[in-house]
Amino acid sequence: MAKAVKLNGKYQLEPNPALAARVLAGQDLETPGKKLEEEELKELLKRILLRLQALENG
Amino acid sequence: MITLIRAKDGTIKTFSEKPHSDYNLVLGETVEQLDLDFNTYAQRFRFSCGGRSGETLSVQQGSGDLLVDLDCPGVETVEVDINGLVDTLVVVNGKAQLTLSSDVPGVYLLQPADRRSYCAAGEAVLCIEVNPNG
Repeated sequence: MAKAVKLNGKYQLEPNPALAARVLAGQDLETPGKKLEEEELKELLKRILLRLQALENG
Repeated sequence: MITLIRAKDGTIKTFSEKPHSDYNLVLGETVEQLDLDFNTYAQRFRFSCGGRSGETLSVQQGSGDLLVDLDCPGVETVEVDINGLVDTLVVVNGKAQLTLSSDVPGVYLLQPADRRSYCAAGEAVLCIEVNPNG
């Protein structure tokens, strides 16, 4: 569960990197058919690993 | 008549209208009887958001601030637990309010922080899911 913080009198969730990565899951599924730059590949790999880590931590 | 079951550490595990005479206590658990009706007891600590209580709410990311009401009669301040963050709210005429941002997706879990005074069950727990855009 994401941590909550209080800022300017209201509570908000700390961003969850795995959830942010999951938002791009649909887009990422399209990437194997495309030619990717090295930086795009690194970002894709990072998102995959973040989601895998979240899955393993259950 | 309300029956409370307290865990070994004194926190309220559950409560009910039943006498629980056949309940098998785990080591260290205790039973208390209170001369209150169920609704009165259950509404000592009650979260609601948009008039809804005791259920999981779902909103879209970026849909604006969420105003959560807390009914907590008979006290001047109360501690709430928001995803593990414990904060003290000022209670005026039995009511307090807090604001949640919907800017970041995830799940809010609101419950009483003082589990010796309030049971984290029923309408004392509020779950709000902020769904990501995209």
